[in-house]
Amino acid sequence: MTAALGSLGADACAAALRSASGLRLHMGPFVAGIQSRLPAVHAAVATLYADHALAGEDEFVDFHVGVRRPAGLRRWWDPQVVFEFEGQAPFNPLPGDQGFPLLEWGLNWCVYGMCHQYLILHAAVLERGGRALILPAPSGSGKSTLCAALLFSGWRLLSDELTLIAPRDGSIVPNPRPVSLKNESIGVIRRFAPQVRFGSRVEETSKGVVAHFPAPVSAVQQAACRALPGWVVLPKYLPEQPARLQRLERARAFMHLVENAFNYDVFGAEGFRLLASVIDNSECFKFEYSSVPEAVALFAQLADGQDVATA
Amino acid sequence: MGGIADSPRRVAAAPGMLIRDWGEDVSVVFSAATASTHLVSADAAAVLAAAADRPGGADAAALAAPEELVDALVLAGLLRRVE
Repeated sequence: MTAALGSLGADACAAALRSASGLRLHMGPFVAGIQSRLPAVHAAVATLYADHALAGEDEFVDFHVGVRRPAGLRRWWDPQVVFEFEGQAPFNPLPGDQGFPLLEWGLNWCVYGMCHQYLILHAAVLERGGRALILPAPSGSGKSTLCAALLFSGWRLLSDELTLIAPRDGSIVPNPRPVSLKNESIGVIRRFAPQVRFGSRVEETSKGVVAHFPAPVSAVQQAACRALPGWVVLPKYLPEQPARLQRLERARAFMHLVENAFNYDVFGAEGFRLLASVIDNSECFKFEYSSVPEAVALFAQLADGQDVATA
Repeated sequence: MGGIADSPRRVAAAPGMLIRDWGEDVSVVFSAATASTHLVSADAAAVLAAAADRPGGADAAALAAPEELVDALVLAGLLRRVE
């Protein structure tokens, strides 16, 4: 077992991020080499990735990424940040205080854009009792809020954003990283789990206010423990609605997985068979909620094998 | 010019078609020919399964398929007209 980043201390972490080879970190099945000279990024990485294992100098690095200030006079009056992948800048710059969110979005892009050894869904995924709960949903559906609440309620975080399905056996490969919350969700989770230690709030991103908190240390330490699909649940936050879980036809759940897959087309018929195997092994539901404690209680019952679905 | 309605009634499943039927009102179908995935009614899935069992093609009537359904499945690339 290699040492965790937190054992380095903040100064050594910053020095590694500034170095030519970058800070090399394990992130689930991947190793990322991260470079940045931005103090805000140093602080965020040191805090939010403290429990992630350092990778050795001889380990293969899947992504060489960085966040830096673009050159030019603008850096003196309206600084920006740019994400770099293998020395190239694939995206437009963002305002200067968005370095860490940009790094996270860029790392997501690296995974879903290049890691076609997995079929990848835009879905949060957690585990309990060896079974994975897959929450496929677009942004704004309440997926991340529900995921954050569940990981403080006995569920293991596999990922809050990207579900990696191994083609060989249909297992879900954990990729625990900092959990991103937006806007009202930040306050909701602060109230639900006062012990959570958020990183800095970043205002006025394209998604609104964004804040991250670290993946639980237990989730990071169990990143090699895969889970088999158990439930596919389509969450939707609806104000003033009681928590309600309704069974969903498997074929419709299948189509939702297709719609939320980043690289289904890459796999062709194999992708169809793989998603069908996920559905074969899962109970499928639609879920509406407005209260996080209600939602958590209902999912605990679901995990215990109780029939909590309404007609 | 003849349209679909004037085409021969004999049809075959598109090559490389996969069907998953969980015994519900709807099923899912993958067509390798068009690299597309479809949600189809149970009736349509039954017709496609019957067509897949007859690689050489079959008369639409033998598949118990209404003409409108055959036309829709042909348009979706899941059935093909055969002479």
